[in-house]
Amino acid sequence: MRTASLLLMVRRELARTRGPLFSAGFGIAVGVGALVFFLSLGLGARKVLLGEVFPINQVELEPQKTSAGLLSLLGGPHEPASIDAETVAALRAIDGVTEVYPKLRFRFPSMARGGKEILGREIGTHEMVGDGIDPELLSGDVDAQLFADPLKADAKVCRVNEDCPEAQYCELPSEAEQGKCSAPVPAVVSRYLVELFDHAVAPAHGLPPVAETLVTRAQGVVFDMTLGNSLLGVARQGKERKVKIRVVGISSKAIDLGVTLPAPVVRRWNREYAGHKAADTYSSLVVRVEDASATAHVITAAQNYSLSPRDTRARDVSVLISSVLAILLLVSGVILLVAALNITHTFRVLVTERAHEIGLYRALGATRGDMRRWLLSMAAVVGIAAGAVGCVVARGAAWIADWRGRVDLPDFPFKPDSFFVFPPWLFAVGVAFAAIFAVLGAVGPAIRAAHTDPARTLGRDR
Amino acid sequence: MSEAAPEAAIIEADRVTRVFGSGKAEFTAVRSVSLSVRSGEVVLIFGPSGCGKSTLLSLLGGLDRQYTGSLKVFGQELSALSDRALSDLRAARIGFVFQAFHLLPHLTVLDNVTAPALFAPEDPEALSKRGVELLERVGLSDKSGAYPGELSGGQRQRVAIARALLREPDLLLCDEPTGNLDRETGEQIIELFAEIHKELSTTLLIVTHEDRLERIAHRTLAMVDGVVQSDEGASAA
Repeated sequence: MRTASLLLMVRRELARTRGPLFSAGFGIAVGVGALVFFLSLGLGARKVLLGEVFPINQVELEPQKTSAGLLSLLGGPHEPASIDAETVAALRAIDGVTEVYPKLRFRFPSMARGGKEILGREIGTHEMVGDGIDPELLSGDVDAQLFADPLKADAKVCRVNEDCPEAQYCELPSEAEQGKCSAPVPAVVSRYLVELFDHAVAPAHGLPPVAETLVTRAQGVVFDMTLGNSLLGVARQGKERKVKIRVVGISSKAIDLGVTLPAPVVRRWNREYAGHKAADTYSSLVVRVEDASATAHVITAAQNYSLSPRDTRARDVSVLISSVLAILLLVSGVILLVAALNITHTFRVLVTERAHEIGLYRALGATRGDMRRWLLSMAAVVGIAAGAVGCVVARGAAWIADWRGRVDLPDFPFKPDSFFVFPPWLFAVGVAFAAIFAVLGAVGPAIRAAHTDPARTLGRDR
Repeated sequence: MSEAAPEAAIIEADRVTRVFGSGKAEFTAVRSVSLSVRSGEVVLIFGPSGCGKSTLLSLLGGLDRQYTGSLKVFGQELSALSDRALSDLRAARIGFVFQAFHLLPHLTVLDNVTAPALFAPEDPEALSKRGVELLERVGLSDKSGAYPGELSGGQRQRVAIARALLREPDLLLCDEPTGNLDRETGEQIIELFAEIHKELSTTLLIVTHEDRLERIAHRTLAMVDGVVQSDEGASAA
């Protein structure tokens, strides 16, 4: 049978059997609607949680915790485990690793004071922790020009801040007789920290949100940081001195609580306060992988170097999202299965009602295959139409959910503009699933139609 | 009707038997029937209800292949043909006319007449044109856009005959074509068959109760309890 003839037959039958086929398609539409809705919700959750809150295409590795840590609490030697350059090179060679970015944690105490520029008033002196990272790790988040070691070789020599131009300070190491004028050291703060402050702390204390201030002011906010001193008196180390810090951006790669500075600056300060080893080794490594599936392999390989993930939340969240999504997809699958059974019932009735007609078509020259194709094509058209309707319904439901979310839900950290993600392939998957389930439902009746006995349906003697 | 000289056999049945059911429910509808029909013949099959004549017609048309014995139509053993080959044979060379017309109620008269074109390899436009000509031939050109429900019994049977002739079959199998019609309408249909045979030399095999069809037949077969009791040449019309 020619395709044009097949389409003509399908069109005629669809026009004739609108009611029952609409009912049969309704179930498919509901199932596909649920499937697409839940999948898009899962993709949306994954995008926010694993893309922004807990990035899964990278893992931060640090030396495994050992009993040495406990010994230090009991008064034993206090030497944090660290990672050397050879280990960094070895990790770069692991399959699936695209880049390794070392991090240096502050190996000296520090305090900070400020907040007036952002909050309108000073918020007291605070213990400050921080780390240093390769500026390249921040590409995409912060302009590389802004996040660089400000101490240039040809900088003006100084002994006190007054020797330097306005907005600069004298970077004078503890034991040195003279230093160099330096612009404030650029710093980035954690997106997590800013979100937490803006959506939880600021509203509770009547403070303005800081994110907008930080982002809109390209030159950032400047505050003083004291190196070598601590609110905990016993932790003082080396000679106390003040430096200036300028916040130049927000990044998910920054330390959660504290500031992240360019690695060369932290290396220099670590050397000044904690010696050469503290400057030449790293506290952790950010390892970027080709895709999330390579993460497990990298973690396993890292164990050979006594390194383990610093944070397993990404993995835990991924498992949680996958589990919830699996349950929701199972529900959608059950709906589709029931819908397919409904299709089976509808088409079975259709074949029984059309037995004479099918017999006649066979007498007029239709093959069994023609009859099978006729029924299955009809089911496919019903499935595709129902799938398209299901996709539209899912998109509409998502739009309503987002709208209600904007209106009813309070602001919270990482609250997205939309809880859903609808990539084009999702609609294709929805329509394909609808067509597949509808066709599967019609297979039995189609086979039955193909085996309709024309002599029995058209004859009179029996 | 003796003017058309019968030629080569297009149907050759040798001890064809058709049994339905099994065990105590076993019923033999056609019992060891042997017959030969030549091209251009008009053959009537008489017999009481339930004697197996419609079953025989189904076997001859390839609608039913659950037989024993040998049955060749246009030289091909029907039980040996694939479903596609048999369908092609039916579509291209055999036309059916049923007592109950079996028109498709959701299609117009013209769409019913051209229904065989759905499964034909020929140009649909050409077959559609032929459908219009056939409607004119059976006197229903003004009804081409009507639906079967709007037609009388005689008109419906004319549509069914036009449909059977769409692909110019060599063999027309008719099962009680006048059975649902009043006497006058039945006469018109018989006349139509006579004209068709005269114009197209189509071989006609007609299962009927009606004696008056004998006037257009070359032969009459009498069936009783699945057996062909007699095979006689009929008087010409």
